[in-house]
Amino acid sequence: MDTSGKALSYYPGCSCSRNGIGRHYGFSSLAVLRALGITVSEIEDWNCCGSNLYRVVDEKGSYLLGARNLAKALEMNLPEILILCPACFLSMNRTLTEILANTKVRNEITKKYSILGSPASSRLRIRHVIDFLVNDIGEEAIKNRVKRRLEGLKIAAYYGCQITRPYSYFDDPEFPTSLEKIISWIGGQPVESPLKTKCCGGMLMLTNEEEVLTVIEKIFNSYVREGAECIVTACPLCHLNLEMARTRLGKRISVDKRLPIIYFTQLVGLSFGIGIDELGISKNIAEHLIEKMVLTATV
Amino acid sequence: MDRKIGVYICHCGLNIASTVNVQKLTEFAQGLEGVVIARDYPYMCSDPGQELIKKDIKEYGLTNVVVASCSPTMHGPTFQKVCEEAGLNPYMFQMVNIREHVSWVTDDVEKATEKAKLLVAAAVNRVKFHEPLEKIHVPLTQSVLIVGGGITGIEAALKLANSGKKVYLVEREPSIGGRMAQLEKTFPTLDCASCILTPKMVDVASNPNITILAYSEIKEVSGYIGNYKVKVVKKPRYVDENKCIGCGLCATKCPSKVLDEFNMGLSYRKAIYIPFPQAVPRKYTIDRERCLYFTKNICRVCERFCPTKAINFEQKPEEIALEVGAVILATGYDVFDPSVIKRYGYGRYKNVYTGLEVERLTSASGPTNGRIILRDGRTPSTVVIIHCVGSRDENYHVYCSRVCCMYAMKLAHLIKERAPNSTVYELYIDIRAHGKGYEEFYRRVQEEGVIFIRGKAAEITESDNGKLIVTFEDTLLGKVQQIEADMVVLATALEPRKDARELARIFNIPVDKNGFFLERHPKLAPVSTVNRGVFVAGACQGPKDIPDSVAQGAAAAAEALALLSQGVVEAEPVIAEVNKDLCSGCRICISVCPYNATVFDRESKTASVQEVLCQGCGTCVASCPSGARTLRQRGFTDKQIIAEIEAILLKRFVPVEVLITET
Ligand SMILES: Cc1cc2nc3c(=O)[nH]c(=O)nc-3n(C[C@H](O)[C@H](O)[C@H](O)COP(=O)(O)OP(=O)(O)OC[C@H]3O[C@@H](n4cnc5c(N)ncnc54)[C@H](O)[C@@H]3O)c2cc1C
Ligand code: SF4
Repeated sequence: MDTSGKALSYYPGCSCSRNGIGRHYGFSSLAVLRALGITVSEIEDWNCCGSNLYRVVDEKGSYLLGARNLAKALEMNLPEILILCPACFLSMNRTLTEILANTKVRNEITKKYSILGSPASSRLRIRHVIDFLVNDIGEEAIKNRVKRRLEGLKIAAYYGCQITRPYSYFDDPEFPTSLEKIISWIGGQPVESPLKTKCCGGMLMLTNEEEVLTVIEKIFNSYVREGAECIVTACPLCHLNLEMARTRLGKRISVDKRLPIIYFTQLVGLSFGIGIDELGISKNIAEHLIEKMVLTATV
Repeated sequence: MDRKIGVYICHCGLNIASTVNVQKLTEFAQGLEGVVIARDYPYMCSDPGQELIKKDIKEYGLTNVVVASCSPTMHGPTFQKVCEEAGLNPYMFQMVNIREHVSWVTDDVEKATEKAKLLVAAAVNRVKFHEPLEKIHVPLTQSVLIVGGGITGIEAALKLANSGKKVYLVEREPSIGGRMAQLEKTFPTLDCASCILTPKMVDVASNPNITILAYSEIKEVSGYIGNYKVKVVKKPRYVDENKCIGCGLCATKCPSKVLDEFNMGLSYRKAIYIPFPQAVPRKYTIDRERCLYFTKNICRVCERFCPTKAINFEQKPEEIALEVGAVILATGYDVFDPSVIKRYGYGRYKNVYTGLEVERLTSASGPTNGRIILRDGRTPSTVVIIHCVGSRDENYHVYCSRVCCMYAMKLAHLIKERAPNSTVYELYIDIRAHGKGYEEFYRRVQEEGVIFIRGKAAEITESDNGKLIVTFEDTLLGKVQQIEADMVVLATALEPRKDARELARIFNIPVDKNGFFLERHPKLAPVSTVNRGVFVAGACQGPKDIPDSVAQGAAAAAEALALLSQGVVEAEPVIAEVNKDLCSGCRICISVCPYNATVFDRESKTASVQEVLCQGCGTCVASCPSGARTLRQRGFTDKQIIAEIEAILLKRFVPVEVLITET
């Protein structure tokens, strides 16, 4: 597919924004897209996605929050919205689905944001960065851009629970394979785990740490068994939980302390030869990985 | 012509009379123009009711009869016969449905009576334009085509052949036998499948009235009830069937190994093969895809060793033309591919099996000679069987596959028999043990120690030590639990054959919403279809076990026999008719006919309707650009329909005006 000149709006959400815990996910995604010739325009004055947790106590309020972002994207005439954080992805998808399918919600929302009642709103699409890379950019463009091949490096992809559930329009909800495709396009060898879409424990890390540690212990073990040399994530919360759990599990698991846990976009960025500052990746980790890569073009 | 119309209002016991004021309705009918007699009666379809009409026809010299009662699909033919017996052309009759369309859908007596009045008036208006029609008669070819040589097709073939009819049994695979040939034992009596199937297969082969066309497929069908012309393509076996004696020397010498589909890929066969030892016909077949001669132009070992010189690499597909009077479709089912349910990991975890695979594992002639040996060589000590895989699931098939509960229990029994130290769990939603002796079998399996847990498996994962962890909710305990198993068996759904829609199109029959062939009536015509010369039987009509399949095979044979024994077949004259003088030959009607009944007559350069094929759907009539004078529908002419509409919409009970002129 020819994606050159394709324009999307970009919704960072709190975690992937400049000061969020997942800012490196944000930086690296934008850098990778830039390298592929895609420009994204951040939605002006965006606000909270409506948050799945907030929806439980105030459904309408949550939809109104999400709707404001949708309305702004439409005003910018960029109805395809790129999102990284799976929780935002879920929440904004939910808001959009409700507006399109539920008359009562639509009436409430369009009272405030009339643009969402216009025919143009049918063009709104929520796109996850994985979906965009695999289905719009595609194999050829990604392979062409690779400057350092991973040469068989064993990479485990950890999806977490929300990327394909319940909005599974770009991959299988229970056994997605999009990240594995990307990994193999940059020369890596994907390793499988039956737990790759298991919940990371989410917010329970704050209230019931032991439960979360037990879950993540299993996840780590399943990857170690397959000989993973690097784990890539696609969610700021999963990422945080995996990193925290590794420290807290300590000797309970046999995971090498130096096993890199990074965002998949950081890995793609490294293989594209993008600088480590731009990717927000630490020097140690980057060097550890680059050592195992094979230069295919001048960086 | 002066019309003398009789109107008959039925009470249908209280079905109609409790909601429609039948006295008022009768009085109303009596007052309509052209009506000489109107009566009501408790059961119009009863003998005395019928006699009443007959008497009136004769006494009053009725020219038309209107009966207001139930649905015409129920008793239309009954009253047509009454007219005929009293000497009145049956097409001078009209039926009004005041039960399903009126009394059953409301409690409001006043409204119901008003609606009934309008419908009766419409029918009275309409019959004034009825004209006598004659039934069409066509002779019948005294032979039957059966598609599919599973247990259903075999049963039908034997019944027909033994009644002296010529049967052509077309089977796609190299041997007849169908799925039953793949089974080890059959529930609930546990008789060995091949012991009861093989003798029937041999009977088929030796019956002089049956021609087996194995390794063959249907290409094309034309013609109509009683007179079908069928083109069958016999695929090349590259082995001369007349010379092959089935000695099997070729297969022992053949160097090319292939995964054996009969054994569900659990073992290998050769590129020249018979699917299973009891195959009928016992003729070898070369798998072109895997034959070294066809793929690499080497080898030809079989040719060298064949004692009868039967190998023929030059064989070409052969087209065979058949003429038959009736057709029975018995193409059976496919099994659902569970690899699409990713959370069960079928195809990813080597010790997750389908039911049919385990059927082969338990078979004495199967890949392990009947021993339960896993793909990794171990004997399982814990086995979990998961019910309803792909069935009763909105993501896949909403229907119940009817046989999987039973075969799951049968497999549990066999596994416990062959691996006595094993623990076997069944995870079920509900147990469907509906047949004769089935509930008893369920008990027996429970007593043998199989553990039944109510709950559907959520997912299967593999643990560090290579065991399968099955997670499920025990819905009776209300608890999420896990079992560590060595083997998981998925009781997969039965689904329509991949090519069912294509075959349905060739034979001009509909499929149901799940893709199985659609019967004419689920209760009253279970093996008939809307195409009156085509019958369906067995699992191609919906999931079925062997007893039901055999019953349907025999039923379809009886239906075909009943049809053929009529010698000629009557066809409804309520069909389209072309006025050749006015037809411009534009062929639009030909392009819209769903039954290929309208054809172009090259000589007169006009459209013409093949009477027996036309189903009277009216599509062509509506499409004709030069209107009703050119292409008309007998029994549904514009005059008749407009007269009805006038009564209902304009309350005009004497048809004064016909908007479109018609010849
Ligand atoms: C695992 C398993 C275990 C079972 N165990 C039992 C049991 O113990 N007891 C029991 O009563 N039932 C059992 N059943 C059900 C049983 O298999 C069916 O009831 C039976 O096979 C139905 O017979 P059939 O002839 O209608 O269809 P099939 O057996 O499917 O036969 C159809 C035949 O038609 C042929 N065919 C298909 N399409 C075409 C075509 N286009 N042209 C030509 N030929 C075609 C096929 O090759 C096949 O030979 C079991 C089913 C499964 C899946
Ligand atoms: S027969 Fe039993 S296992 Fe099969 S679909 Fe029906 S309920 Fe489920």
